[in-house]
Amino acid sequence: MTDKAKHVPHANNLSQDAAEENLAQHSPEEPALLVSVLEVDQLVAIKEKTHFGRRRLSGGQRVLLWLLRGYVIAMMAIVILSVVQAIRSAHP
Amino acid sequence: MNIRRKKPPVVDTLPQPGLPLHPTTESAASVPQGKLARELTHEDIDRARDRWAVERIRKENRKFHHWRWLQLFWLLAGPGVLVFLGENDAPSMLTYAATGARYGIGFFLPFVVLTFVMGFVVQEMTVRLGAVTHRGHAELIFDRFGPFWGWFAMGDLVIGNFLTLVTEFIGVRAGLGYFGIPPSLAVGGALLVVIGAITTGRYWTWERITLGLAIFNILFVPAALLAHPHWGDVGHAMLTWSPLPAGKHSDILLLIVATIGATVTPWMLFFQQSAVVDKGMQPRDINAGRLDTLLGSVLASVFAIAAIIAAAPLFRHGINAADFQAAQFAQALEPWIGRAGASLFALGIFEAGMVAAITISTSSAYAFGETLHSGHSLNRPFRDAWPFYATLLGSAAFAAGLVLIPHVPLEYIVLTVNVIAVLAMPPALLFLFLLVNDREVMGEYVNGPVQNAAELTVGFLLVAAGLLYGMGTVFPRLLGN
Repeated sequence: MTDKAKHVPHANNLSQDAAEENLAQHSPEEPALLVSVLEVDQLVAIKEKTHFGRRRLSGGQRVLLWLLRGYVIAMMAIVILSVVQAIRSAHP
Repeated sequence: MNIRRKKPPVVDTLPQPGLPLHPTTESAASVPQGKLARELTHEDIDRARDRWAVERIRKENRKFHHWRWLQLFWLLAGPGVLVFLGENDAPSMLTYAATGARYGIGFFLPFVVLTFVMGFVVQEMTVRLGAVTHRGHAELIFDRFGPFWGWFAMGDLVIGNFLTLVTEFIGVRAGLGYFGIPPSLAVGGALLVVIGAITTGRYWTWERITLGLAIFNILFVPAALLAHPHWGDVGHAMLTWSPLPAGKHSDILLLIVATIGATVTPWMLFFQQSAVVDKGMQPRDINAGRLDTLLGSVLASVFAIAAIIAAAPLFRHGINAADFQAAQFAQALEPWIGRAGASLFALGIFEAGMVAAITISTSSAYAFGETLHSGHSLNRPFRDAWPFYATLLGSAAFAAGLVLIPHVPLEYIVLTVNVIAVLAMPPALLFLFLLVNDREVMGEYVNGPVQNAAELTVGFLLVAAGLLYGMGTVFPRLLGN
């Protein structure tokens, strides 16, 4: 397991260092210290306020989504057909 | 609690040009202390305690204590093993047994391994998505593609999950039915286990309880050993993919599609990503998540192969297993693998249904909570996330109740549930493909060309298998006999 956290520039290195120093403890009682091991958008309050914006789909992506939607609907109809066939053959 | 879906999402943390949209670049320590104290929840504290244990081990790991590496993996493993052993569910194990009983040891052994490779390719992407974005799969689909496509994806998930959940309770009933336990007691008991697993109000405890149950999927291994297989035949089949199955092409095709559906399904995507988020995994945990997923896929493929081998004596002795239901396999196997082997097989079917009932109902609940932006974590107490827990328990209770209604044609649900999973998978894979290639969401963790090629190959195989199945059903003569 390699440590790939190098992309995470911690905004408050002081608090981060405090957490590092206290990691010998099993689990600190101080909530602020405890949650310093979480990333900021792991906090429920932050997650509830921040959302990813809508992405723009290209024409090709839209066509593909519709094709696959049509595929699922057609295939579900075939599944229903096969079940009806199975029921009919079981109860002629 | 207001559970209406909120208006289209708004990003209140504006990204800097060229940086990912999401704010996963800062420690929670950067939030002002006063604000933090006001906004912390029970869920945050529980998740932070789990993370604290991980970081503590990681720090000690720097001192080159190799056994600490195992401790770290023990803390980070879970979603990957659970998703694959959860997918080795009652209908899947019965599908594997059906291939063994009808076609013996041959093509299907390596084919099952191939399906698990496909499963690993797809599930690894959900680990990255969850660890990087800290958002569940349903939430990301709604946020990035909007409610129109989001509800389509949810529709596929809800239908597939509910039908699968019904088959899990059929497996529970049939497995315990072999020992003479009445259906109401078997199904009611299973429901109590589902309730018991979530009453702790803690993701970690739920995960460990479910893992403890899931490992009993290993019961198929001693059942296979009691079938006294020719290991030379097993080795030959694995290396040569032969003998090829003989018989009616439409039947073979149905089993091929069902075997794929036993390994690659939409609920797995939603479940693992949400579990990774609920566990609190971060980008630095991605390799551990990959290993967890690999371990799950290897264990599940071994147990699946064991189910095929355990049922192979029926093929060797020319017993027609075409219309066998769950418990009938155990009864039919008794003369060949003994009472002990048949009991292990029946217990295995029960366990498979039990574990999948827990994981699939949890998958539905996660997706429901993410879609409605209501609480969706096993770290939340019931009062804070009652719609989440109500969905989990309601879907399980409804499916369990349906199984107890007399004269409901359950055998047709069992027959088609894995096929439906395969047919619903291509659109789910397209959403996954778009999300893991979305640099605004994934930053540096986007798919590479090899991962894209692998996912596109899986998608192409699934569409091809579905189309062949459709052609075989509508034009049975086209495929010949």
